[in-house]
Amino acid sequence: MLSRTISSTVRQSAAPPNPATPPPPTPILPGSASSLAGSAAATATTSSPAAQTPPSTTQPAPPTNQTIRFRTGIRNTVYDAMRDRGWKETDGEMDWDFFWADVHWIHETFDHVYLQEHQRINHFRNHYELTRKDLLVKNVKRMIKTIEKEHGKLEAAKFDFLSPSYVLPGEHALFTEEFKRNPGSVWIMKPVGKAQGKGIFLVNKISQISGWRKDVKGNVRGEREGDDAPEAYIVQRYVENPLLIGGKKFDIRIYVLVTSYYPLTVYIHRNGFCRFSNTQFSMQAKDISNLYIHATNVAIQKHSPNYLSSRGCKWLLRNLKLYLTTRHGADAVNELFTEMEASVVRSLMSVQKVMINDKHCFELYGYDILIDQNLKPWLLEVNASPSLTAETQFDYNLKHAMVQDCFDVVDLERRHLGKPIRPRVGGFDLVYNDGPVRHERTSSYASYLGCYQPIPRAPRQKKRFGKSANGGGSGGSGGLDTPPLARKGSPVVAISVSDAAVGVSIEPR
Amino acid sequence: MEILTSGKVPVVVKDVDSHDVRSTARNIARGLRDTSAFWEFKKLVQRETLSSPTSDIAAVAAQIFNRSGGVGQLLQNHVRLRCHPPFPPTLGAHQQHWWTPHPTDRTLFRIDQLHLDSRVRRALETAQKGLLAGARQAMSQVAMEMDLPLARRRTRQEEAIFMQYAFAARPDDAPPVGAASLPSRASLTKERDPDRACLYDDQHLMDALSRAHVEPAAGTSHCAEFARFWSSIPVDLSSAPPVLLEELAYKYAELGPLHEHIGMDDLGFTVQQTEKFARAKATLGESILARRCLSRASRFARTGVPASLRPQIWDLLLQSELMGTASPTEHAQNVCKPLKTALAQHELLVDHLVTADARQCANDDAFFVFEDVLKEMMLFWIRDEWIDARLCPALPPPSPPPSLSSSNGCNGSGGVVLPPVTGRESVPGAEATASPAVVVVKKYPPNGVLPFWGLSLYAMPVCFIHGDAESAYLTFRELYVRCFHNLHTLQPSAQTPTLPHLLTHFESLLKQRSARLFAHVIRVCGVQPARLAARWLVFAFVGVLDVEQVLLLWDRVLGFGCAGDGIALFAVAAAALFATRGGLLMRARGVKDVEIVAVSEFTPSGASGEDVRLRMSTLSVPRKEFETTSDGT
Repeated sequence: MLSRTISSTVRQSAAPPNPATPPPPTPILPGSASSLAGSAAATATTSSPAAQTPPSTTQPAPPTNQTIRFRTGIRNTVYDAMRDRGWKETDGEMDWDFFWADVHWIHETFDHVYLQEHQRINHFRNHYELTRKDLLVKNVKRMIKTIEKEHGKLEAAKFDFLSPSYVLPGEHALFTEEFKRNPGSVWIMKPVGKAQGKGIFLVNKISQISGWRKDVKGNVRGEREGDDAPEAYIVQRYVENPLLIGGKKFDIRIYVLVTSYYPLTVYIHRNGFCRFSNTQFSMQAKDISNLYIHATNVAIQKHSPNYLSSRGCKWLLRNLKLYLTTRHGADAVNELFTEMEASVVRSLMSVQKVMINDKHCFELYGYDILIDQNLKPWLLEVNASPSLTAETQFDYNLKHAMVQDCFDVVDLERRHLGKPIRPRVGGFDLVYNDGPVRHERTSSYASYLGCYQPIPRAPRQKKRFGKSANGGGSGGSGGLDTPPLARKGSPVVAISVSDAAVGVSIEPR
Repeated sequence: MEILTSGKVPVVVKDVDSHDVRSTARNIARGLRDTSAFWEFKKLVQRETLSSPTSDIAAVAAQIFNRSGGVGQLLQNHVRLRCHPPFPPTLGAHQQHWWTPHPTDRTLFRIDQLHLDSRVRRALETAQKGLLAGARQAMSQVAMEMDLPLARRRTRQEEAIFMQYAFAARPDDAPPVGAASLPSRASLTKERDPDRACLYDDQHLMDALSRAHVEPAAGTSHCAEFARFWSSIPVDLSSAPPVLLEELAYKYAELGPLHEHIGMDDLGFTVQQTEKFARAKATLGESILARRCLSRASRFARTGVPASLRPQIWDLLLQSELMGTASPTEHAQNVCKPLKTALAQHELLVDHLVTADARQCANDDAFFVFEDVLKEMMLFWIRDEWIDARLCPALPPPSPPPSLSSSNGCNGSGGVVLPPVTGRESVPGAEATASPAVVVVKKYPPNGVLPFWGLSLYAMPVCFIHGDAESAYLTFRELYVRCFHNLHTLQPSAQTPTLPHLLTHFESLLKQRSARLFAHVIRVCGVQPARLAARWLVFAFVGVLDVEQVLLLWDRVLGFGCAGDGIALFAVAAAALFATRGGLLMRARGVKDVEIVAVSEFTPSGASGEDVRLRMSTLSVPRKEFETTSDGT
């Protein structure tokens, strides 16, 4: 009953970026792969000033007066964010408006259910085309071939954001050849289906991976993958000259929100963070097996003797930007961040053709990117379910704000129904909408990555840290115990603005 | 060359009368021989003379001297850096029309502010001595508890191991002490962890200050009472009329709203404007760097330095005379090499203190990355005798010697005498291979400064400027001797304001700005604003503001000269923070509220987006004041 009323209001457009009615002032640019890669043809569009106003949860008169009912199996920042929006939890199997599902449900159940018009879910059906390491490699390699045929080698070279990779055991022979061409090179082995750095190791001798040889009996791929078959791995050229800060290796996690693959609509959150290893970097042979040096996954670093649970090892992208600007100049940093953004979009374009688009779906990816000493970004992997469990207050604030922004974009409340697609929602910037998006920035496009200034929301206290099992925090208000003063956060803005002698824009960028 | 040198000097310090000029010039010329740039210049002249067709040495020298960014400019910079302009205090002249800013005061912290009654001076000196005596006592206690000698020669094997692993974090390191924050963010009400190895901290500092006591002279007691009314600083430092808000607007004219600022206008109104401004600023900065002109650079820094030029501009501002032909990195490495050797050879007790201190950064979300770098910097710092030499020059002026030095090495009054091993290594056990050189260090610790808890906070933002520990260390040590050591010194100095002065300055500004707020915080909330501000001041706002904001603030401090107006700017910024928070503070009802408003929400990791507002508020007090004056006139 309830769902029917909602669905009737939704019918006109369920997904915000409705391809059928592109509103005139939006920066939608029909563009092919080359127009992004070339990135010269796109024109600057003037975005409405409304885009600059932070989305406020207190916007009057939402088009729907129904409470959103959500289902989820997890208790972390996502859960808190949904509760904070006033949504109600439901445990019905299919009786929900929004389901924050885990990938297992997607694999096992999604194909067998029918979704109502208004129902939304946080994964695409075959997201693994992007997030499984071997499939990503395959898709990008295919994309490179296509582009090379259609646009030439120069354009194809722009898709070179993955370090040379081979799927084992399938491409063992190819890999051996490549390995022999680069004597002394170091490669990294990653199991294709596992996350959090499980099963990762480094190799510098071919004998170390002889178990993945194709010609070993029983290893013939495709015919019979019995129990004795080796686990599928990809072997990837190890980036031996990562950019070091304070002598330590790091990679960058950025959040990418895809609301649709047809047309491809991509938002990137400007507030990513760097994850550091806790140990000084070294490429010495004796340290090859020390994953505390080489891996930056929190799941691995957690067990490092130097790890401190109270701090995590996360560094805001803003800090990285400041540091790099100081060392390498503003132009180099702009180029780097724009290149990172472009790599993200190119990776998505590589899977666009195979991805099953579905207007019920959106997906929040966690991209892992490594920067080398020449300031070239390398895409390490894409996570379909980035960890949204907070380990520290700092972590909580970051993720909670990001998830809130994500829900603002997805707009289940349908506040922006029928309005032009917004180039900026909270920390999310629209970077691709069936063509590269340019805001009213400049002649020289610069990424907004790392420009995040948190937008004041109602202050929150720490609610849930660590891994809490299901039902961990099923309380009503979630134990909000904000000091009375901190609640009055918003008036400060007004005070300080009117106090300043000049009308300084406090619009955070 | 000699002629050239002394010929150039008077141009710069023309305000001093001629006799002084000559002697100063002589002094500087003598001092020049110690710098590497001097010898490089000679070498350069030699080389160019040999290669030039004419054999006119004087002409070649003059040409090298006069080229843009050449030796002549370096010399000017050197003189500017060396000469703390010893202006005679213009007290009399000033008092006649104290409301109009005095022209000579334009670039100086009003020097009459630094004139102190001898009793007050003595009281502060006693406070400082007491503090350091306590610190020394703490040190011998730490030595006893840790069962370590003050200094120890490492064996060769240990030396080798140390050289290899020196700065990397080791698994056996104890986790950093304290809760999850930097000392500048610690709560006022909570007890400190008593177990941490520290000699003294900012609270001890403030306690020592509040214990300072001036015996009232006969007949003036009322007056003194009256001056101390409404102030948490027990001694009356206001020997001159307080600095007025209007005066500030004049003094810090560059901070006024008519000037464009990095940190504000580069975030500006429209993209076009922003870009244009950023580009203009960058071009100007580069041309200044090319010409290596110190005075222009400092004027440039007053409106903020673009992040990409900051390392070079700061180098120019802090150590331009060193920029000979060697690259700054090489120079830094040369300086640090002996320090590294000393570090490998000797293990000092204070090493443990400064490393523990440096490891605090692990608790911070912005600085944890630099833990190893910081540790290295602090270990350099503690054994760098250059610092001692700069803080306490060999020929002390007749006026009381600069802070800290007087009571460090020698036995302060009432202090516990250090064990006589100072500097000499007490060889533990039987070391067969007799340690070759017995290094006698004049002072303990070798840099002459007893480290206080949180000292490494000064070094943290510098890590954002330089990638390698050596360059960062050089910047840090210059900043320390010029500026930061004044922030944790009670003893008044003849040239620059120290902590008591800064606090007085802060209080007077806040009272002028909003006496009601000041009263409210004291009476209703029961907090001394100066107590809160002291924490910000002592740590130069590190950990209080976001890193970027700290660097922007330091830009301005450097721009206005570390010694006078620059350091006073810290007090202005503290008052600005208070004033911006006025509305919220007025609603506060207790210590806890004040802390929430004034401390916790400033933290960079806070989700409330405070830093955006701070960007303005640090500057908005001078701006407001500027407006006040323009209204008034």
